[in-house]
Amino acid sequence: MQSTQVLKFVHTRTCSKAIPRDINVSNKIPTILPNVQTPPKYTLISLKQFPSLEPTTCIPISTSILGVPLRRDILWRAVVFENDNKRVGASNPPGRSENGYSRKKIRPQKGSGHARVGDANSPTRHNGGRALARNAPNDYTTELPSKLYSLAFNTALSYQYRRGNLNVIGSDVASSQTDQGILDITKQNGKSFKYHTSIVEKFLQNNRLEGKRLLFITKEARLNLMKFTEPSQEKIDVIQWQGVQINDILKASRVFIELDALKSLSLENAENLHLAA
Amino acid sequence: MKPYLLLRPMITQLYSRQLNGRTFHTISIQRDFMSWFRSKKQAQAKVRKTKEIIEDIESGKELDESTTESSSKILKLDLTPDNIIGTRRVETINLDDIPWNNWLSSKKVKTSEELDQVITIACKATLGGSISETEPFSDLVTKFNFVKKLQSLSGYTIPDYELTVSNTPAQFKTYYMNNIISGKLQQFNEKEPNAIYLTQDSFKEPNIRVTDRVISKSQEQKFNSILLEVQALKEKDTMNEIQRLRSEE
Repeated sequence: MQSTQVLKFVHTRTCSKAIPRDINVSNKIPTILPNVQTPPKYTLISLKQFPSLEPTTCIPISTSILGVPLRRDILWRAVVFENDNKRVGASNPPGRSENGYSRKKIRPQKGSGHARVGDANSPTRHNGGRALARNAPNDYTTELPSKLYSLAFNTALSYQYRRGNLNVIGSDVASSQTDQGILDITKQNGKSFKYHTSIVEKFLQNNRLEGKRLLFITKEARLNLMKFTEPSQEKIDVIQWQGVQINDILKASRVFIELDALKSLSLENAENLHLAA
Repeated sequence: MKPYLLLRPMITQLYSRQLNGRTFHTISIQRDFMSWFRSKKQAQAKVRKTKEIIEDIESGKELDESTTESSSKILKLDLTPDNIIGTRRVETINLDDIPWNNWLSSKKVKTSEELDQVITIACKATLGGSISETEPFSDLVTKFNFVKKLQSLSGYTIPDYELTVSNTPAQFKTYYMNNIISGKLQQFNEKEPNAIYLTQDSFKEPNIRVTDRVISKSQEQKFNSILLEVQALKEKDTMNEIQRLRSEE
C-alpha cells in the first residue's frame, strides 16, 4: 500500500466532522492523526453531605486516580494476590505414614489373580493416605509488585467511579442540621438506639439502597456509624482507609468514601506508582 | 519478618498490610456450630453430688437452697395474663418523622416534555434565560450549579462521570433521555449489568416476534391475584357443598 493511501485510511478512520474539508479538496497530505488530543488530566467529583447525599461543591481529581482505564488482568492478579494472602493454611491431611492402617502387604505379590497391591495406606486407595501430605502452617502467600497493586487499587476506584457508584463525602458546609461532611451519625441526646438505626434505614430507603452491599471507607474510627449500622451489618461494611482491600471495592454496589480517606489512599498509591502527589 | 520485605525497603505501608493480613474489619465473627453446645454447657447449673449432700445432712449442716434446688423445683409461672405485669413496649418509629434534608424532588420526571420544562427552569435559575442549551458552560461553578438544580428538580441524580464529560445543557438532556426517560435505568439489574433487552422495535423482519418483557414484580402480582381468585372459588364451592348437605339433612 502506498503511503498516501495509508494516510487517507488513517484520515477516514480518525477524522470527525470538525476537520475542515479543504484538506481533501486541496489534495494536501493530512498530518497523521489530525484529531489527536492530550488526554484529560483531571476528572470531577462532587463532594456530598451525609446522609442526604446532597452535593455542595465539586473538585477536580487527577485521572491517574479516578480515570484509569479498566484492566481486568491487573484486577485479577490483585484479587488473587489478596485471596492467597488471606488463606490460613491450617489443613493437616495425613500422609501414608500417618494414616493409621497396618504396613502389611494386603495380598501376596503373585497368585491371587488380582492386581498387585501394597499396604492400605497407599494414596491410590480410596481410604488411603494423602499423596504429598503437608502440615500446618501451610504458606500459600504469593507476591505482587507493589506498583501493580497500587495500579489495581486505582483501577478499582476508577471502575466504580465510571459506573456512578463512588460517592465522596466531604463538605465543609452543612446545608441542614441532619447533614454533615463526614461519614458518621451524630448521637442525639435523649434519642434511642432504634431512632438512630432508623436514620440508617431512611438513608437506605431514600437512596434505594436496601439489600445492596455498601462500603463505607472512613478516615477515623466512626464508632457511632458502626454501632447504628449493626442491624444491617451483613450488607454494610464500615472500614477505616488502612484496611480497605481491592476485593471490598469491587464487591460493593456503592462505595461511600470520606474525602480525607480518598486523599490518604491516593497518596499511598501515588508513592508506589512514583507519581507526583 | 518475611525475607522479601527485607529485600524491598521501599515497600509501602498499604502493600505490606495486605501481605501481613489486615487487622480489623467490621463484619462480626461467625461462630461455629459447636459453640452453641459449649454455651449451653456453660449455662447449666452446677449440681452437687448426692454423696456430698447426704454427708451435709448427716453432719447437720444447713443446706443452701440454691444448690439443692433442682430444675424441677424452679418456680415457673404460667403464661396467663394474670401472671404478667405490664406490657412489653415495642418502640416503633415512623421514618417520615425523622428530620431529613429532602433536596431531591419527590416528583420524578417521566416524559420528555417534563424534562424540557425542568431544563428550562434550571437554565433560567443558574445561567440566566438568554443562554441556549447548546452553549457550553462558562465555568465549573456554573456547570455544578446547573447540574445540582437539574438533579433536585428532576428527582434523579447524575453520576460524577457524566458531570465531567458533559459540557452543555443539551448533553445532560441526552443523558436523561437515553438513561432515564427511555426506561433503561428502571430495567437495570445490578446482578446482570450488561444484559441486553430486546424489543420488537429492534427488528423489522416479519418473521421475528419479540414478546414484551414482564418485570418480576408484575409477574408476582399477577400470580398472587390468580391464587387469590382460586382460593375464593374453592371457598365458595366448599360453602355451597356445606349448604347442600345441610339442606339434605
